Amino acid sequence: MIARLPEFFARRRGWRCLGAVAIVAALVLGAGGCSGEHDLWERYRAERQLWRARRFLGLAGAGVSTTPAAAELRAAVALEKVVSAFPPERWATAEALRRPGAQDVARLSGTAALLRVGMDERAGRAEATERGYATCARAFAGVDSVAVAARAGHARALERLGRDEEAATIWLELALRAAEPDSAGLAPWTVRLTAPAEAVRLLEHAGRRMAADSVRARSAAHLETLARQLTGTRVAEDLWDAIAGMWRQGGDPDRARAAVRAALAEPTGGDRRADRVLQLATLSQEAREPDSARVYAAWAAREFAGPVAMEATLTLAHAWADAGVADSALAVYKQLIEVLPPMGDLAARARLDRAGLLDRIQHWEAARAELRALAMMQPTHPCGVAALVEIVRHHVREGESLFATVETKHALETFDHLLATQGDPGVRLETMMARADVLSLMGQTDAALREYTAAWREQQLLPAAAVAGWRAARLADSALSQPVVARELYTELAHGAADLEVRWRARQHLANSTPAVNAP
Amino acid sequence: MEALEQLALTGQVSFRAVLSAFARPLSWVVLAGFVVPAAMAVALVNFAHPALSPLMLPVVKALGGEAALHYPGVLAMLPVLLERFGRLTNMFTLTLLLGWAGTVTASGSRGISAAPALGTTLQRSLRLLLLGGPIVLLHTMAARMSAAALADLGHQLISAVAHLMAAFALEAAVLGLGMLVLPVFVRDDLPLRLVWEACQRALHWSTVAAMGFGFVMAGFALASRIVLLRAHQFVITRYPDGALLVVFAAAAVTAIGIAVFAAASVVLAAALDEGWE
Repeated sequence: MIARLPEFFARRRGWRCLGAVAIVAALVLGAGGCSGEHDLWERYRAERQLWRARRFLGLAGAGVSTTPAAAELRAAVALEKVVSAFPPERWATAEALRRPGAQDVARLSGTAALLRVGMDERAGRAEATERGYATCARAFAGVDSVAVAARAGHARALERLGRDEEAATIWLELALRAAEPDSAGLAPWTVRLTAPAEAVRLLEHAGRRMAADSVRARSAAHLETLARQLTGTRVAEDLWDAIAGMWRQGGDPDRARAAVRAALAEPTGGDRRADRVLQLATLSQEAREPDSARVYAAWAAREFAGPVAMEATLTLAHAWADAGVADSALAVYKQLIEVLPPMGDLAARARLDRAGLLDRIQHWEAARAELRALAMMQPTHPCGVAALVEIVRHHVREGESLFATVETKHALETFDHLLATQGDPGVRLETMMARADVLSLMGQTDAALREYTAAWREQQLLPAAAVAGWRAARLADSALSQPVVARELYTELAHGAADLEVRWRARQHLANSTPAVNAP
Repeated sequence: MEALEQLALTGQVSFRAVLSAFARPLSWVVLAGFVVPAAMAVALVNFAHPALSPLMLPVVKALGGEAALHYPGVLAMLPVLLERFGRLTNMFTLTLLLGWAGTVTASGSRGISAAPALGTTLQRSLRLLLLGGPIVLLHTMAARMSAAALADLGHQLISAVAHLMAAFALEAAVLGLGMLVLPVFVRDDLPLRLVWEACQRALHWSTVAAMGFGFVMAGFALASRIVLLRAHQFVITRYPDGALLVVFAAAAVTAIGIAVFAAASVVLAAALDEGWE
């Protein structure tokens, strides 16, 4: 038979045979199609559509498009298409969610819905955001990964609209299931763990301090019970951390430390031990117990390696400084500066703190050298920018007006150069704020107000920009006596600040100031 | 034959082989060499389709793990999936394709078309697999080394360049060796006991041609790999579905390369044979 193969193919029998094989294969595949996983194919399609929508969203967010509105619209349409192609009415029902494939499809559809609402949120469309999150939370109630994020987003949207009580209710509902693990089954949802603290904050904003204290105590007790029940698991550690966070927020560092110590005692937390010891040092500092802070910081620096050890060493230096033992603090700072890479963030912070301590103990020459070195080595780092402000601040404080003028000129030239050459929003904001600080220190309040206002308006999307806006409003309100300008700035902050706490404070300010007085 | 003459002849024959790859009957071999991996790529990418999932889901999972079961993971990993699949099939498919292309070229003067040549190749498949299989395996190994070194270029430059050079040298040597032995394996007038003697004769008379041919083919292979890797990296972050087109291009280049290699080897051997005889 082998010998007749060439003839077999030459007479086209081979091709007929191959054709028959192809037909049989097609029939087999067709039959297989009846038993194939339809959910798998739908998941693949959903992933594909969501990937495309995310790409459009990324392009719109990157600001590289010449027509940003069109890019935004394209992204919004693509995201809405995902939700309409895989509607929650079909994929997020109780029946559908029993199938793992359908669960994935529902999660992808919900993610698209969340991203779409996120677009409204970023654009500052508060009402649309609130409606979007509410719809999303309702439609995807069975999909935890979507529902939890949607409810948290809804609470934030309500807070932005000034509906604090409703927001607090949502946070409290979220807190009820704090111990339930996330969709990966590894740890609780972070949002659920921080939910009680958010609720307490909102109740405090609403002036219901008693209710806030009660909620805090009840939530802490509830989480503590859960943590004790789940001891020996990762969830227990997360719960103790949440309890520590709540007590810290409530200004009770003793209870916070007790919770951190309980987390430290959990057998599963090997990889987070260093962070916890460091947290104990920080909490001791906040409790104004420098001796305890020193012991914990020294423990963390001695026992652990890597960035945490370096951070602990910096905390140790702070603890020595707080205890009034400047020599030891300076020695630790020096050791840290020598060990750390010179261009790192921690080295910059250590240099700035060391300079501050040297200034406080009247070693200005050494402090100035440190500040100059920092400004020269890391000119775009927030500490490098702050170093120039600190030099001016020292001369103003000491009444050395000539030196202050010279240093101001030098600082302003440096800031102008940075603003002309740097495009990074964070660097620009820091530089503009430092420029305003220097002008304010030199008594040029009008110019400082303009600079703070420009910084706030230029970088409004950055949370730190709210500080610039707040300072501008305070300057207008107090030193410059321009209540109209101040009111305008507070209104902008109340509606546009990325930090919700700043929004609330601005709203409070507006509510407390009488329009008759502020009228032009 | 002089070394320079061998090189000039190699260049001329290679050029003619490229042209012949686009003309019948060799184009049938190119088509077959393209269709098989392209069909496999289409099946891998559409593994989730209900008609394919019973068969392809376990295959994709076995070849690429969980990451390959998602979009665009399967497209990002497509070259890797095909390469892993190729480890199982290359020895058979490449040897048979080379044998088919060689037989088509060798019997072209006698007016035999692609179909009977395929029959003849299948008839001699055992001999081809036994003798050519190890060389194909060596080439697959060199190609894998080369691809791995290219992927490492961004992380470990010195080590990657060293590996790339070693892989290039190995690939050139294997292709040169293949060029010498393929014409011997596809000859129908040569009994198995005389194959070794024929190989020795080819090595003696065509060393320079084989080296030159091996380096040129390895150079083209390396250049294609670089271009296709870059194209895949470019496409996967922007239009992941385009990865399938890149794989099609890679399959086409490989199929043409196989046909050119086989045709040039056979024609060159015949020309050099005329020279020494």
